[in-house]
Amino acid sequence: MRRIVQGAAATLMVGLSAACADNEGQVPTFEVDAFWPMPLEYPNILGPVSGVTVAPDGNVLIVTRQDGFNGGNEINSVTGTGTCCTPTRAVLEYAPDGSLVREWGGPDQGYDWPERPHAIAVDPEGNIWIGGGVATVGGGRGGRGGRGGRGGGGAPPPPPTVTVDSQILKFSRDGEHLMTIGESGQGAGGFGGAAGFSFDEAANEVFVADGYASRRVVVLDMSTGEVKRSWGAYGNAPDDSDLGSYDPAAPAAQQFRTVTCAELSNDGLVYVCDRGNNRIQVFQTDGTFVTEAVLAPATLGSGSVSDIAFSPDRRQRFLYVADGMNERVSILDRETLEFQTSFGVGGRYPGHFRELGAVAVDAEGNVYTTENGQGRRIQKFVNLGMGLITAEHQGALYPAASR
Amino acid sequence: MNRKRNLIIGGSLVVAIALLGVGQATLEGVALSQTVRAPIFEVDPYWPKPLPNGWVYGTVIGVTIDAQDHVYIVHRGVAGAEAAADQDPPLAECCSSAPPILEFDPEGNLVRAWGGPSETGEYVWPSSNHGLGVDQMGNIWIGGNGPGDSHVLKFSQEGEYLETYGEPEQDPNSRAMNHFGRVADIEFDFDANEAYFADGYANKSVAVVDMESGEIKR
Repeated sequence: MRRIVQGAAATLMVGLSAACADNEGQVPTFEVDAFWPMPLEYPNILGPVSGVTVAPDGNVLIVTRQDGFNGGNEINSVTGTGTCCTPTRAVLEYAPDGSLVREWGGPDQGYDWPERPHAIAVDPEGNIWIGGGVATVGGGRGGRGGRGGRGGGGAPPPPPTVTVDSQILKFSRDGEHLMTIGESGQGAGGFGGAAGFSFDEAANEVFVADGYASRRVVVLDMSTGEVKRSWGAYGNAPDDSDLGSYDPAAPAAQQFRTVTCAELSNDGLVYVCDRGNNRIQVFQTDGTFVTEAVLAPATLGSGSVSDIAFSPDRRQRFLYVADGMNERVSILDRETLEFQTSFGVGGRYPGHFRELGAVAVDAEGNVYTTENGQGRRIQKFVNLGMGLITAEHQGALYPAASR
Repeated sequence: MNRKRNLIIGGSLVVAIALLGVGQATLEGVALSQTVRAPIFEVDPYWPKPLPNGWVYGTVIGVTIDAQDHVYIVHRGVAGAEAAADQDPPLAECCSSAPPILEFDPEGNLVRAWGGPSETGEYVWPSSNHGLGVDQMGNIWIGGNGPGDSHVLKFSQEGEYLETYGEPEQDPNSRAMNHFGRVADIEFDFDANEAYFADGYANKSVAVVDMESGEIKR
């Protein structure tokens, strides 16, 4: 099922320094920093955090959703039932020390903000790109957990309304709206929940993970937003047909199920998260299929590959994969796509994950993760350097003094 | 000793509530007329230690501390996608709902995990967990605030079932002498051998119970 990466990646093996050889078999090691970022100003709280990126200057940007709160006892300063809490704006930018630099964005600001913002990325000019997803509003999917009430009865809920975010927005670094590509409310033919972006500065192109309703990688002209080309799984022509539920015993799907990332490496390969198929597929920038890897193939639900980020070394030796079903970050060797180890485990304490959705890495190799849904936070994992790890799954990486 | 502890905990709570009030006043720009001397804290986010077995907590709805400073919590478990490993077939390798009663030592190590519906039907587990107390024998008392939770259960420290106080499945009646109405919390007066029930979500009373017989005294 897995093929060896050919071409550019392999040639980079030539000229490996002695320093790298010293690290043979070692992987980056981490501990969680539970005190990053600094507390928000009272009474602000984060909504579901659906995307994270690190700007070239080291600042960390996240995009949050403003839905999903428990209206009965959570946003009391909004509902008038208490003094805390109030959701922040949609985009937050933190300095490397964890202090909040600015917040902006969200609905009712004079631009077509996505119903369910999902992706955030900084382009080579320093502008911010925002994509969306697919929102299921109302209907029978009420909040989970409830307040001990069961049985309920009453009239059946109205059918849910499905909203597809078929637009992409571009902003200046400080939140000034610059451009909207596509429009909201489009069916087939528009974007179908643009869940991730990466940029090819030399070619002036944007790679879009598109997405939830569409099932393709689509390449845009970075200046005009025009669609230049697109492809599906294995480089096939895209097909937006609903593949139904993933079946581990079925032959490999010849189309993407959910495309949630499309990340361009330094050596010109596009790494695509096919979340619902539990796999990463690798392409050349023209859409030629190169290789693939399947992670935790028994995973059902939304799938094991939500987002990826590269280690910051020039070779980008490691790939960090956010696995939001098994609630861990898997570390892969980028060239072989072989699993090395993972960190994180389900839960709400530091180093645990609840609906892990996105991952980013800064220039020092520190890893940032964000949790969607009921998780609603960003966490920082401090890079402690290379080490030998024997555990397949390391669990929550508390600082050594607290283990 | 234990009573003193409970009083101290109660006192701390009062101070904590007062501090919250102070914080609020400061935020609203209201200057305090005088400086207060109060307990000072910092959060320890690395307490307790991570749970084993891919267990996760649901809503944590009660906490108490025994004479050895062991900390007990009761939670409501998780379901659906959050309990992905509990589904059939499992949706993922993580996570599973932890047993409802968890005991930690002062260092944050998990000491015991137990509780949940009886496999033999010898007791009725609450339909919605809510509140717990630990008596001077180290026994754990558990209330509930869901439908049918008109009783209180007592277990040994190891989780062995001991007693049911009040009859389950009774309609609300704050004057009833044979049952409660969704007990939210339990505290003790060990000198008087009395348990105080916050009763509760269906009843609207404080119930004082003889700790030996379980009879409602007032």
